[in-house]
Amino acid sequence: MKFTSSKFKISTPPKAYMIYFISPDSWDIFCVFNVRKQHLLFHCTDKNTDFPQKVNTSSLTGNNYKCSSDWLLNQGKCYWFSTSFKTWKESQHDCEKLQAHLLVIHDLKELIFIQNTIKPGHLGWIGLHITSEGNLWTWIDEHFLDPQLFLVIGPTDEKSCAIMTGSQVYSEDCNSRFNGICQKDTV
Amino acid sequence: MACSGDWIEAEKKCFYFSLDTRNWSASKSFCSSHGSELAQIDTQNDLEFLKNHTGTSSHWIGLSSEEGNPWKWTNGTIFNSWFEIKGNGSFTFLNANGVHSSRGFVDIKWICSKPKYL
Repeated sequence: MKFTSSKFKISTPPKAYMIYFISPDSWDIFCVFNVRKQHLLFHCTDKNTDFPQKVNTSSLTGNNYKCSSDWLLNQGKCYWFSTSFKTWKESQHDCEKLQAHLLVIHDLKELIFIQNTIKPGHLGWIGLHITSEGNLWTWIDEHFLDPQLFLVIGPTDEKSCAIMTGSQVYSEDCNSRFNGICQKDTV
Repeated sequence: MACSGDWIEAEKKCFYFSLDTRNWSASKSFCSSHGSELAQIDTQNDLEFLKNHTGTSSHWIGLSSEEGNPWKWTNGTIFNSWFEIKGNGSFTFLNANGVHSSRGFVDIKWICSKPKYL
């Protein structure tokens, strides 16, 4: 794209620069050049379409995310869906043997990824259970479940553990037998 | 008379395998509104046939028990325990791995059954 004119506005201290372009077909494009950690970040916004385009943002170099075979890779984490039916505790134990733990989810993006991965008719234990204090759904990393993320369908008694299908999360008896979903960081 | 449409024939019964998922009672209602019951399994052959058809997906079957009472089929017949039910729930489902029990809330597939000759 060729620009007929441009205006530069330099802020002090000189860490971010805003550039205003007017293109031949009179598009207005604002770009913010941000100098951070030896990378130039270019964020351009076309005023007419309000469509933010990221131009040449710094690349994620040196991150060769990898999972062992049979594990699914998503956003820097590895996931494994067990095929044996075990109690919640046994499933957690099986994950630990693989240097992993039962699935812990703190953001919507990850929840959507997992639920899109679980096929109809499949389900798996996740690392969420009712602890003896206060009958609250608690993740195995000791965070409480954020009710904004999802609600668990079913009772909240002391022997309840959570299980996930492609659409919802449910309460089941921790001593019932289901598959488990293991999670670990990439190597 | 053979089994019609989406129903699959096996010995004396016609079976319907859902593609959709529901909880146990919604699955039970689906079967009864289609002139059938949540699957009743009477023979070893039936059981093997169903396990082969479900593969790894879990499907509700018509065996449930009220707190402290024996397992019953949806028509009220008491189950004589000729196969093992694993788990601590009151509602049963089946897959290639065997018959398991659940609290009945989870949305999984289901199987309906009806006699072949009516």
